[in-house]
Amino acid sequence: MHNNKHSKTELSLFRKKVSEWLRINKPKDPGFLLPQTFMEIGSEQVLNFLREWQFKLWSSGFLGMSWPSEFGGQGLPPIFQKIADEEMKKQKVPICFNVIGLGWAGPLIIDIGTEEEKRKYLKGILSGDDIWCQGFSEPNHGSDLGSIQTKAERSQDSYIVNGSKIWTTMGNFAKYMILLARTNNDSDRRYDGLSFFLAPMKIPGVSTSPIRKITGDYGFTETFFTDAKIPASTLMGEEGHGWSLAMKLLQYERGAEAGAAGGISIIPTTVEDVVEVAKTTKKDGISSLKDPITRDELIKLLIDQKAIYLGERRATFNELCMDFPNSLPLSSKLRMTEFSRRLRQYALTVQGAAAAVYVGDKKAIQSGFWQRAYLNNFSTTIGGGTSQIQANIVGEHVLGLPKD
Amino acid sequence: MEFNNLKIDFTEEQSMVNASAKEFCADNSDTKRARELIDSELGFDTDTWDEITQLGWTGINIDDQYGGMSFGISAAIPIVEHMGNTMMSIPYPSHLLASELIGRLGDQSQKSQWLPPLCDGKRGTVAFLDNEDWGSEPQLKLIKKNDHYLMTGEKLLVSDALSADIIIVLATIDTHPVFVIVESHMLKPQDLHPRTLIDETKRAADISLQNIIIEETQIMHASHEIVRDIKLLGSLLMAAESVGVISITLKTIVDYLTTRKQFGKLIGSYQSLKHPTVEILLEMDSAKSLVYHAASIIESGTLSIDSQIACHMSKAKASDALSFAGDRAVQFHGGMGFTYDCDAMLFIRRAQWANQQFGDPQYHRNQLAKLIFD
Repeated sequence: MHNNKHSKTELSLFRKKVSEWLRINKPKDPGFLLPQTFMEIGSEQVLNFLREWQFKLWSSGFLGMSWPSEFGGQGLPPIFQKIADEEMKKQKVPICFNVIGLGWAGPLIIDIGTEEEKRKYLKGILSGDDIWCQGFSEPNHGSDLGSIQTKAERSQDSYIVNGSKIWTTMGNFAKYMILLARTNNDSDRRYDGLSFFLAPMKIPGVSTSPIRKITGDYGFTETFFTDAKIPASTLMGEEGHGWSLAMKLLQYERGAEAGAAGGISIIPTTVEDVVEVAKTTKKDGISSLKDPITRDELIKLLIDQKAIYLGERRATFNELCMDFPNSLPLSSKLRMTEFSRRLRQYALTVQGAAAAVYVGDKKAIQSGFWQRAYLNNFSTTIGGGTSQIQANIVGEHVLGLPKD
Repeated sequence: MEFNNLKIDFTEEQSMVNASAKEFCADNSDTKRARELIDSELGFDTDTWDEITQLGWTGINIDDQYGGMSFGISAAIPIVEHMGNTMMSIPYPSHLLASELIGRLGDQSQKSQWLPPLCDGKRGTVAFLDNEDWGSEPQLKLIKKNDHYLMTGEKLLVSDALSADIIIVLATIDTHPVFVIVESHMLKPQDLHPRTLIDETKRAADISLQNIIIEETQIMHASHEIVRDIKLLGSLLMAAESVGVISITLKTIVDYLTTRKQFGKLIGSYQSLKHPTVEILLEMDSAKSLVYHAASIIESGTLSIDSQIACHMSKAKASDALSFAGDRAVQFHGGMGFTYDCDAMLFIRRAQWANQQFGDPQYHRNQLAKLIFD
């Protein structure tokens, strides 16, 4: 409805403007491998580079465009940000790194936060000055949030937090954490005793310890709370309503509800990219792209990639989904992450002997991008519910197969 | 590499046809009925054919000036899918392809002569194969004799040849491809040699042609493109039917996994069975998305590169998915699955038949590689 006020001409002029700006301002190759997701920021060098890029995007008016103008945004309809994001994707610019702030905390604060909270947090999220992290998962509980053990006990105008969180992306850099902690142990249902906080990280009693990934890089931490005292005012919503707020966040994340500040948070890999690699390598004395087996594998991947894109489109037609309703949306994560794993592995296979070398080797193809990308891909087939759990979900909820 | 066409439309025509096809197929077919028809000579129920004719589906793709519905062949995709989903034995895909071919390639008088009877319930089929290679160039020759031609040779594995009134034969004149419209009464019964098929619900025969006199009016002069296109449309119909068959295969597996107990538990609770079953669903979803994409973009004229890619991809994916589904259906039924009485028998045999029809998945991927990489 908002969008009607803006003519097609205005939007296409805007698209031109973004495209032109990106062409001129897209950062030069920094000489080190840039991350494909915000989970791969392992050094200050990388962080500073991305921080500078996000600041430039925001200060030039291409980030947070739909957020309120009094808090760092421009109050524009979401279509403008969408166009800007499309152009960023097209030109393969670096990611906007402050993902938890831009896509999760920010929208929630705009949605239910007080004026004071908006003033305090929003602008810093956009500028990249205030880095945010997420504290949901805990050691030994994987993605089962109902089992959260970290405690937050009320003590006058504070909560005292004890426990630990794991897989905290940028935990070592973050100023704030969206924290899910248990405020009540006696609830009948295990989700009822959870509360949601905008917790400060740079306070006594909070410490982080970096986790080294299979890639050899850092990017995640384990986060420890030992009698950490956080102001009671950092509680979002009511005590005990943490679970429903966490679910609300997932809606922003999936784009089902508008509100995310925008910017690209992931640089996807496509079969077309792997074809480019194959063009430069040989199999059995001929170009890989002339090798029948390589061609067959690449075509299989192209078919699956196209089916993924088309599935999103088909899902919008109820009549084309009546046999097994919800099959497409519920299997989307499983399908995409497993496809990406296969694709990235195959990008190594087409390299021949060069597949053996890694980031840091001077002659590595694309500086070892694919080697690292393949290993990093496991964060998606494991995080957010492993592929095996996803297959259980699809089997049980779509096909009606019995639980284990 | 530019092949980012991601269009899927579901037209009002398709929607309407989809609803009635679903109901009609469910009312008229299931695996029990399919088994009963195995023993019949023609392999299908002529009453069902008459009803399909009444519904207008025999001419759904044909222009209304020739008695059809003018919906285009895309509108038949949901029908064929539902036929697969109920294992309906019917020579409908063969018929569609024959009428589509005349609609695309015939001249005015050929269309006027043959399309109205095809819409009215006469059955058609197309004879493609000179050998077992779906990718080979046509071989059968027409030899000029005075004011007509003589056709001598053999066509292999012609689908539904025995029940067809009109058989369109792919042949050549001086190496140029032609399609020859042959009415079945021009052939002697002993010229048709029924083959024993792995899928007993299907019918096919070899045809021996001995000095058959062909008039110029029976000949549709073709091009490499139209031969390619009609095979691609055949691939697409096959893929649509396969998607339906995967669906009924999957439901049969799920039924068994949710009722059969072993070691005190429903076997569907074991992840070794649950996860491959989910894999079947995912592969079926992929095939279905590709099929309806192809149905949304195929042209009534020469197929664009996008459409060719979509048809090849549909067939490659649907055949692989059905092969996997049929194979697992037998295995997951255990000892029952090894018996003739278990419906998994129907599915695994259909899968092997469908896999080769219009070229196997590797063949289609090879064509895709040529289109995309060369």
